[in-house]
Amino acid sequence: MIEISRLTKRYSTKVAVADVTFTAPPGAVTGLIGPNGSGKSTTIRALLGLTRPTHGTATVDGCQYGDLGPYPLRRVGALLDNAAPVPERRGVDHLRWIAQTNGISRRRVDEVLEQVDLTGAARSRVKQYSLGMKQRLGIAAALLGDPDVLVLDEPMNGLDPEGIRWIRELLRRRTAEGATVLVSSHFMTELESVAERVVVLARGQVRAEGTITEVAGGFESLEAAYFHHTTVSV
Amino acid sequence: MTAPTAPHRPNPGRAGPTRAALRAELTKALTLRSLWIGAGVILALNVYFAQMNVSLLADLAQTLEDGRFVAYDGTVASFETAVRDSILSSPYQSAALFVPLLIAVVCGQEYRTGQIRTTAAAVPNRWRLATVQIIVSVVLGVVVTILAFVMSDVVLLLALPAEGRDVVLSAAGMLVGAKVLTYSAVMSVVAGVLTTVLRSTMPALVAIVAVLVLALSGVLLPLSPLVHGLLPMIAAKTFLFGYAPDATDPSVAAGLVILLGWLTAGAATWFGALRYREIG
Repeated sequence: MIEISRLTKRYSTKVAVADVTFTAPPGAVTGLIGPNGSGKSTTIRALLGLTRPTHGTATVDGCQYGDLGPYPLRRVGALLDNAAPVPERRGVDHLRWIAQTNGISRRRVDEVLEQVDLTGAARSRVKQYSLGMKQRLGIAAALLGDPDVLVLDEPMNGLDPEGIRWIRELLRRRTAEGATVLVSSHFMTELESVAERVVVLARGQVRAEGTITEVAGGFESLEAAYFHHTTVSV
Repeated sequence: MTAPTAPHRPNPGRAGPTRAALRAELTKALTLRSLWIGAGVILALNVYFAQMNVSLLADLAQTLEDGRFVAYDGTVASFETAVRDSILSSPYQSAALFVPLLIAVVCGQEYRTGQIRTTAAAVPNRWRLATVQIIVSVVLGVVVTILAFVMSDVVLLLALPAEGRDVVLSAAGMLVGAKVLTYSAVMSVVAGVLTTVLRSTMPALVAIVAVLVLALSGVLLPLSPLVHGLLPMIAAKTFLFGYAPDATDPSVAAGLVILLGWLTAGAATWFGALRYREIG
């Protein structure tokens, strides 16, 4: 279970998120949507201990990220925005060092490479990868520890239709096994097909939260609801 | 893409978290192509400088009187001192400039593409993260300096006359090596902490070169001899060579204390930068 409670992050002149509260329950995909600069990435970074909240908490199974133990990737897998692999390193080496930080075996690196269909390109340097391949490498890194919680920031960016279908199946399978999944995305149609719950952020505040039916209720689609909630001032 | 496999629980590693993080940090560095290219360039330059020293020493050997010669400033020095300085000069240049530049490039990879976020999520304990980063920087710097030292010695041993070879293999010659490794460790930490604080390779490279230029140009000397003496390259001179080339240089002991001060302050700042600043 992911719990964001009254999360506020204030920079010197700007409030990135203000009093944000929502939960992402286990066994469901929770979509985090909002325009650029709405606070999605800040919320995810606070959850992963990369930024300190000014106020409030962001926890995984009741623990702050730093208290998850020395091997947090076994509990939480994350795909982060603006955290690309170093171009001159080979794909397999990128996964290898991440695996080593959390005592994850080399065999597991090969497994996740196969899952994301990068086995053939594993020994190529990341600078030779397409955008979609880089995205799949990032997803492979998130899967390394076989975590029960997945936090994916824009996982569908750069993926081709086959890749999008693959990630949809992955998320469904993971949630069927009881995993907690928080996904930020601009792909409304895709999100509508895979997420059970959705949180709409705009200008650092939660504008709507609930099941897809609840949030999109009264609108012709989730996209229509999104535009309504993100453009109406509070 | 294959269908997601059944859940896989990795076996808990037998190594402790710090050892795991250290291993990962080493893998991160050793899988960088720029590390190998940079180290190769440093070693090639080192051999070139050593070869130049050999030519100089060979010329000097022709002018010896009772094993002594008249230096460019008119002082009389022994051939042994000249050989000992030659043993030191190539690795000293590497440790003073090239190794710090290499360490800045390696440390800067964390910030080039935002990889530091992945690192911090994988190793959330910032003390542990800083510790392993410092250790890896020192190890890389020292290993490259050892290779530079050995290659320099091999060139000298192959080309020097017998009396010069004896100096290279003497205890004094080996002590010079130990000192230059200490200096290399200090400069590796200085380069690493500059990169970590500035969060970028290029400003760190500029800062390293700026410190070197300040030291070599002596512009601080008329303003404050004390501040000039506190620069790591100046403090290292007497510590490494065993005598003060300039009257304003700190003593050997003071040089060592200043270098240890840089090491301690650098490590403390590195810890502080990772512990108290947000990764973002």
